[in-house]
Amino acid sequence: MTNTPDTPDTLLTALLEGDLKADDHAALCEQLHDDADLRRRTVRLMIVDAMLADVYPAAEPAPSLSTHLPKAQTPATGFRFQLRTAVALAAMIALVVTAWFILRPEPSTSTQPPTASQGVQPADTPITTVVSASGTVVIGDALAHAGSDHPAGLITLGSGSARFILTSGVDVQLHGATQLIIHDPMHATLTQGTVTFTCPPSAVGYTVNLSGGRKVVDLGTRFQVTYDIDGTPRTTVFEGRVEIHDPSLDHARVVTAGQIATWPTGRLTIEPYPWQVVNPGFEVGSGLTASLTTHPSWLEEHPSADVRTRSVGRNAETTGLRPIGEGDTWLTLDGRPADDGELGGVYQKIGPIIDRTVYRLHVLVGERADNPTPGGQGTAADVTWGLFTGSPDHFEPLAAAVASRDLSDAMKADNNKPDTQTSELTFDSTDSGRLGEELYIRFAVIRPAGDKRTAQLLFDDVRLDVRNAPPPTQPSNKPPTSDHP
Amino acid sequence: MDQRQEQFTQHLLAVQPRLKVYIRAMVGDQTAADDILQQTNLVLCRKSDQYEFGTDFGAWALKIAHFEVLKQRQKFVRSRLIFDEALADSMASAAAEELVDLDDQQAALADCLGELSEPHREMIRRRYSLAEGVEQLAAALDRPAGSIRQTLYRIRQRLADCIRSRTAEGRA
Repeated sequence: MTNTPDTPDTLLTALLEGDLKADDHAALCEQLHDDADLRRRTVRLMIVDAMLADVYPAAEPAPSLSTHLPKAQTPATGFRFQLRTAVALAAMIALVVTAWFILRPEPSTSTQPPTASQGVQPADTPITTVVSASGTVVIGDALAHAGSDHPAGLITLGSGSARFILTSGVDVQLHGATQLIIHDPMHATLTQGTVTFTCPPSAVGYTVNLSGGRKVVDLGTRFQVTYDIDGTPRTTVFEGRVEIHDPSLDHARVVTAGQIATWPTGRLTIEPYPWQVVNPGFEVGSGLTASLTTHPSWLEEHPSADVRTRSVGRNAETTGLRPIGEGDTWLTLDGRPADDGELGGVYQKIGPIIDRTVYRLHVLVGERADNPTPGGQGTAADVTWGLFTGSPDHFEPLAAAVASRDLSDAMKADNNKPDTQTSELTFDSTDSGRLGEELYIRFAVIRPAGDKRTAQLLFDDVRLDVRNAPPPTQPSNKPPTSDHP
Repeated sequence: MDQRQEQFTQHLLAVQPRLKVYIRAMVGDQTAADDILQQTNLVLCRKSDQYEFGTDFGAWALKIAHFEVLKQRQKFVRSRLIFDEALADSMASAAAEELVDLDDQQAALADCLGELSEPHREMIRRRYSLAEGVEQLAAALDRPAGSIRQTLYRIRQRLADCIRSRTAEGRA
């Protein structure tokens, strides 16, 4: 695409990014007036834009995983969002008026009778205290701020996040554009957006009403409720258990930590929640002759780049000697010693290790057919890859593979075949004593070849998946009311 | 909530994606569209007793939205760059046609996102979920801002083409 300033593509890009200048706006309007196809194309792009905004709502990730996001993922301060926030207040106040229509406490559906402190409150009794808010929040008919108290009502958050505590002790966190109706300290209805609830044992029975007459009833836990793009509710349980009530089912289902309840085909489905993928972006360690500094990101982001630690990474002369990777670029680690004899590698700093988290590193490993494989026959070279802690000066393995130990016989054999194997390495931080230490993905030469011969191992499809560890087995504060599905 | 109110709320939630696009197509500017959408929701609630259950809620809501855009657009003429009335009408017609199969398009989007390369999916995720602007993405990925703009546009265009292709297959 070779855009000049007035091409429709350039103008549409500016329109979608929210930074169309006045002159360009006039030019775009003129072209739209004259061109029905362009109008149709514009609408299609707007549809995609709107759908993407729904698929990827501006929301915080699951709390315990947030520290693992790449460092560039800082809170939104983009032009478009600043403008939206600025005008959102008036719009939200208008929205509050709609509360009269939908704000009516439902009859209690809790499996536990409310305690005296959790009973129905007079309409003006404060039951909500705002702890923090990074976006504009309106509760009932008042603008909320940290420390302010509010009675039951419709909570509207335009963007950003907000956290508040109910008098029942329930901790409520809103992520992105969200509307939550607080009926009383023990009942709420989510109509839009994403909310994470942390319920103390005293709030067992806390109930969140969802669309379609569905309900989530807390059994002492932390869970998140959101709506998918098609309006289907989705409940993710981080700790403890919840009950899911569905009018189409004759009894409640229990969902436990590490599971998601959703209705992808209209029927309740409970399954483990997916791994959160972190894409690495490698840095170069010492002892390397080629620079990765112009390719700082994820390997396959620059499929035509010559990504390597030493020697060739992608070369027509040796293409046939390499297996087919996930993309067309392999990270090549060569056991041939550098001129100064120093060993090296590449690494990615992920962030501090957090409690009760499982890290799974997936790597596709390949060999070059025309030279000895590190760790295999005919070479002294050996390499390692995996999850490490420590620092670039002194790495310590947490879950690491070593070529001489962990490669398959086919990979080690000097058989002129470009073999591959998948390597999966898992580290569970639970009771590891490593909390707060830095986590790294690393690929490194640990023993050089005895001569100047090429001895390469190839890496591709590098992916780190992160998820909460299964909760420890402990006595529950209430027996489940139904069998596990 | 009684049953009628609950049904109305469900309809209102379900129609939001269509309203969003329809209104934006008529005004162009996202900020003005967001504001008009909220006003439209308010009007829909006020007029809830005029809606006949069993009839096409989406058509009813779009009609009210259309009227609201024409009514509200004067408010933004000086402060925002919005489409003139004639263009708004033309865009509304195009939007009404393109939104007919929005449910199918939403279903196709998941597959089409799966066809993107991982870096492109990640860029889209950062652009929307983390609201990183072009400049932020450019700095984070060490690429020129112009290149990021082009890439984002191409990704959206590719998704639009993919969605069209898949929904057409579904009709065939």
